[in-house]
Amino acid sequence: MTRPRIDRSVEAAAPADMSVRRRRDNAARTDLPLVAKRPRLKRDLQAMTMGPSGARPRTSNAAASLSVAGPSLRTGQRQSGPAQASPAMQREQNLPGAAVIRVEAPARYRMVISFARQAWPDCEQELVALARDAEDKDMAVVVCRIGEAGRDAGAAGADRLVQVAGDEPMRQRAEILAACRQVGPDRIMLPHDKKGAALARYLAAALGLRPALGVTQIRGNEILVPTADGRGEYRRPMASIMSIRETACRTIAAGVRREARPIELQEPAGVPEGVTDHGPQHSDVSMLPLEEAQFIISAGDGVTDFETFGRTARGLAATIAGSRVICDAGHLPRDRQIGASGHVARADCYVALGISGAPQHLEGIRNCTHVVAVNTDLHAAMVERADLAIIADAQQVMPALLRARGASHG
Amino acid sequence: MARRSAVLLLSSGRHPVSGRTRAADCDARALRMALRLQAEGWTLSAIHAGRPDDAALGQYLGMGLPSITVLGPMSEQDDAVPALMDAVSARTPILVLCGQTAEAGEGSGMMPYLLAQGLGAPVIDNVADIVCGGTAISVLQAEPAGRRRRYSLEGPAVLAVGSLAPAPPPFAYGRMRRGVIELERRSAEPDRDRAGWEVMPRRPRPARLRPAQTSATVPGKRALTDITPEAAALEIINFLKGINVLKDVAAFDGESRQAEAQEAHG
Repeated sequence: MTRPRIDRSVEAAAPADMSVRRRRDNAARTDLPLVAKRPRLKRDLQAMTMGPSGARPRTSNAAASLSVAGPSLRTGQRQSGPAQASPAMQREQNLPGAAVIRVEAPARYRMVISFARQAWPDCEQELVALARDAEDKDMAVVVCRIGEAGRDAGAAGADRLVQVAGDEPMRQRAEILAACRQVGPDRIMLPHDKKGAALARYLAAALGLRPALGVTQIRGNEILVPTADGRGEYRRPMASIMSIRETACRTIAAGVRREARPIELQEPAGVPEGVTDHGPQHSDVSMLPLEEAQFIISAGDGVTDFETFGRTARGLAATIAGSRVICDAGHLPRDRQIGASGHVARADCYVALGISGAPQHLEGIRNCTHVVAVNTDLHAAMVERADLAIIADAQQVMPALLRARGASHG
Repeated sequence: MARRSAVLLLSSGRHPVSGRTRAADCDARALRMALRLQAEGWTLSAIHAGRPDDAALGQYLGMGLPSITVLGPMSEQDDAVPALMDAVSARTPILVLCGQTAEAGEGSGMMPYLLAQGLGAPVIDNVADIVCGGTAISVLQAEPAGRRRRYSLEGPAVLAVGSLAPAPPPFAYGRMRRGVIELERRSAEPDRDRAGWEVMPRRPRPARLRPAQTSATVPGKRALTDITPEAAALEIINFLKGINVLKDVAAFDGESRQAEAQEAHG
């Protein structure tokens, strides 16, 4: 097998104009109704999903529409004109308080589906930027947001916003599918986590499209997608539905505000049949598998009273864990051990009570976002790792935690 | 439900480190659920699309399956979905069980969704358990933070079993020897789209570097010495509230705090 070479010309052509251009026509200033105008060009996807009744006759321009295989790069066609401005100029014009960019009658829509709880920090903003990469001013990015997030979609670069309630996955799917059929985006992008990938699969199957799942890199018109065994990568054309990994995104500086005009779904989504959702089953999280836990409280040699430790964990609704010393001593079962020879945790928060932080233990909490340490030794490795370190005796802090918790409950 | 029948779809797995052929992890977990259904009186048929001499099949037999039907022979480059769709719809099952994603080939995880689309049945992914009580079937779906969402089924469904389901059954050599592999001859078309894609060795990408978080509610690293246990407890609880970890933040001191924390986070 010869080593594949990357066609530089494709790469060079792709980011032809990635700057954001301000629309200068008068339409931006007139007040238009909050209903999305029909796109001028019908996309393949829309024609396929909407049926002939909703479709206007195709113009010759429709030939340039994005096919399932990937977008055509229309460099040179829409690049000229007075609307073009250099990125530097743009930045000057778009200081906070500057006008919001509006796209009134987009020729095409792209959809970014995001969750209230982001797969990685700034995931929504980065995906929007990625969706907009081959920039043209006739395109609007629709952000389809699942669950209420306290974020500003306009600041993330959304021209339109579809808000979907975040509790029932089956209904969510149906609503997003309805939104896709109504809007008719030429490309749909999702973050690649469990939920994002599952949604991408569902949409792809329902719309009859072949998705690309777990895109690691976008090179111009081509994407890299790992094979199932993780040893190789497919180099394949851009797909209409893609779930994107963090590695394919770039950090985006907060840029131009867009309007994030809400789109109301015209047709109520059909309730999925054959399945009844009874909601999440709440259970005691204290003995959850450590790989699944999001909030862990862990005991080390500085803890001797395990009854109080257990009550503290339940009071905080945290999952119980321990260091090797504690599990060796039989205070906690072996499946509670954190560290290189135990479990590797991926929690949002890890509270270490009386743990000095041996290298093997720190390896087990490498993927934890926030660490709180309670230790008597100021120079312990765990104190150095911690975001909040309390130099005190864990034995005395535990009852105080319980009291503080009880007081704030009552 | 009149006929309680289930179809189990098995794929050829690959060990993540050595790349050796093995029973695919999620498929083996699905197998365990299928065996439990069989013990409750369900009719079970196990189907694999591929080659009858695949080493993974022996492992599945060793986990307790009496027989496996192989559709094929077909290679890894062929599109197995049409053949699977034929075979599954011919058996008119109530439940189709399979692993979430394949461990070889494209591994997009589309098969259960395409199958469900073809059968007109809903698909539930990341299944952690099935509970059968009489005629009612409940399915538990794994969600983050150890939560389980319960669905009850009224009709046929496709269940994609995830990695949080109970562990696969143990392997026994004798069972593998006694198990039967039946070949059901099917022709398959090669997957043309995929044939056009170039496969290159995977290049590990470095983790992204991020600027340190500077937020009001998530301060930088702090070490507090000479602190009373009460003050320490308050600091910890405030920190946990700041990063939105404590569940009942609103119950603590009003909703303004929660909104504040969310803003700083978002």
